[in-house]
Amino acid sequence: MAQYIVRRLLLMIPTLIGVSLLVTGLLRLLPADAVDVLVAGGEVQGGGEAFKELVEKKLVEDGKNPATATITDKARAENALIAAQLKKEGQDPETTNQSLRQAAKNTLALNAYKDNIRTRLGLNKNYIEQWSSWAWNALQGDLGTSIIGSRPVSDELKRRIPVSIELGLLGMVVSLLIALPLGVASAVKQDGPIDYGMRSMAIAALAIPSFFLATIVIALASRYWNYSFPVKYREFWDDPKTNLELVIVPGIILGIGLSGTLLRLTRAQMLEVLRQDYIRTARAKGLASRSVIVRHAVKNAFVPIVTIIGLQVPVLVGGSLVLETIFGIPGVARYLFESISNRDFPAVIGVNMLVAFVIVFTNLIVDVLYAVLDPRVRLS
Amino acid sequence: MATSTISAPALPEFYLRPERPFMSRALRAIGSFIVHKPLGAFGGFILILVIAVGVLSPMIAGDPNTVHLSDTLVRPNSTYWFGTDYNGRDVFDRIVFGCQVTAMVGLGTVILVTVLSLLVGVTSGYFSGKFDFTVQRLVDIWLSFPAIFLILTLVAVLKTSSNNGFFGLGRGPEIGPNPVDGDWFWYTFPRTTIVILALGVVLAGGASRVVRSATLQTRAAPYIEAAQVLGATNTRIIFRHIIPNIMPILIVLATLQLGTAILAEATISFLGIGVTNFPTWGQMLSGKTRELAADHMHIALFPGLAIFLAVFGFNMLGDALRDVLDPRLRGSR
Repeated sequence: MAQYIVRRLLLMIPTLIGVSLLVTGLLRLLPADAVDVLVAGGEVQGGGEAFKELVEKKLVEDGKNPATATITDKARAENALIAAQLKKEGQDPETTNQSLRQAAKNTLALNAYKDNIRTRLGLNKNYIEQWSSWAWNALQGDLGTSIIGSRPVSDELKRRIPVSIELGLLGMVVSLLIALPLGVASAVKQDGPIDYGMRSMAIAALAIPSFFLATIVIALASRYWNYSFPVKYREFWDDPKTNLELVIVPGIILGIGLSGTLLRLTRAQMLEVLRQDYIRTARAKGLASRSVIVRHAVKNAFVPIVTIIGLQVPVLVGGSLVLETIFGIPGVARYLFESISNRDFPAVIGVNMLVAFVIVFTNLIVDVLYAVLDPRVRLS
Repeated sequence: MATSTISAPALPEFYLRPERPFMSRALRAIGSFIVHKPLGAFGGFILILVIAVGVLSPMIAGDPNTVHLSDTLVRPNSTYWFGTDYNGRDVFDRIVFGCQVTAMVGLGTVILVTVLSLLVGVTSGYFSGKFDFTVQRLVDIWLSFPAIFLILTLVAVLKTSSNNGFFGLGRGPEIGPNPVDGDWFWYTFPRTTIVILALGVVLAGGASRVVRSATLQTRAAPYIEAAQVLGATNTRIIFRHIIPNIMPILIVLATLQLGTAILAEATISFLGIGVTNFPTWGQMLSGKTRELAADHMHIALFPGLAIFLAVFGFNMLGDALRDVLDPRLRGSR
């Protein structure tokens, strides 16, 4: 057992390295980067300084000292730069008018400015450098600072992880409350009308889009009770009432979505167990049907179910994005979504690694738990 | 002594009934499916309906992008069967044209998922050992990504690479052409393809695991060993023995993936990614719809029901097909 766990833990390392390599690569393929987003959003403005630096560099190239250069020299260097840029854009510098020259100057200034920021943020490194510097810092526990908002990624995650856990746990509890009793009932009354009803319900729960359910719930609440959900998220410890008001409905919707799979699984497991010899023995002993089901069947059917709950963790991350978006809950999935739109490299890779780690780790826990709970299962 | 002739009664003619022609067998199979699995048959009907409405949509509905300025947010009536939205666009027309994207993305994704998962799952399961181990570690990585990340980045990356022509087809304008005019397909095709590629890559990881385990089971069968002894090549064994034998599992997997793919497409459309220049069901629920739904329920209700009905139907079909096709689950119903 110990050997198995160690082996699995060792196998996690290449997986996590692979994920981080792929995330870094995919992000580099994305059009535009965080600096473009910052400049386009007007978050940072500038360029005059950057252009002056360009001119000074040009003067040095021409063998003049920028400190002592005359205005004519500077103007000449400036003109040479603009002419080069115009040529690059495919225009003839001799015939262009003033506005085009001004546009070319602006482009030069903006590009130089962006490049300065990129150098400062370390965005202009090549793939390997970028990845290895990230990995080196991450190994020391530093996930970097998000480019937009310049907050440390680990702080942001610390703030958001409890929110996601709260939503996820709520969803899990709701799905268990729905799926377990109904699944057991469905298996016990196999092929009866109850069974058909439950199975159709399970498939319906899988098919209903969470954003549709959320829209309808919000609309109905507003229409018939004149109720609107809190706009601002509050921490549970600060304001438990507002927090629960906001989280409980998305939690239930998430739970309904998850309950479909779980209900079908519970039913399948129960049917499997109900066919076992020891159930027949228990019935033959003359035990009450209720006692057979609750004490013999359900207890044994739950073993695989408990473990499969763990496998729904990745589903939770995806499922909660839509709900976090609709209800304005600042969870991890929302952070990932925003960071990708902002091309916020350190944040995206941070969240991805967190999720990958959780997925890989729950897989291990599930496998081990399975073996612990069911002695017949051997790990290899 | 007179020669006695042995006269035995003529043997009754025992013979095998000739096999019925293919069409007749297929019809019987479908008939029995409808009788025994009415809900599955209902799902099959929905599938055919979505495809048919998608193909015939220019004949069924008017232009989904026409704005009726004086008729915004009209309740369902005899002119606008499902009412109009906040821009005064006919909801019925938009749902009918939404079938196109749903059908294309659904079927395209399923085909891509099947091909990819076969490629990875069968080779990995068949050539076991170190190769299998390596491939499975790569699949581990594949499955460790949050699906949203992969979809978002893949869609964004593919969109830029399609800026200068995607498969030589161009990008298509931001706002689609009049879909009733013939050319709609070539305008939506690039965007639809991007969504299909992204969803296909994401969903194929999990599917390849199922295919692999089915391959492992089939590979252990004696007839595979027999084929190997007879000197059959690996290619032949894979194509003549393994793939036909895992076909039932593939069909079931594909049907269930159809529902998942359509739900995923609707979700990313709702989030504002994916096909943006053509009406889709998920897109109809996003933006202003959510704020206006309280007083104008119809603009949310009909597209939501369309998604629900399609996914529900496909899942029912997949479930029924599994009962019929997957021998391991036969009888467990």
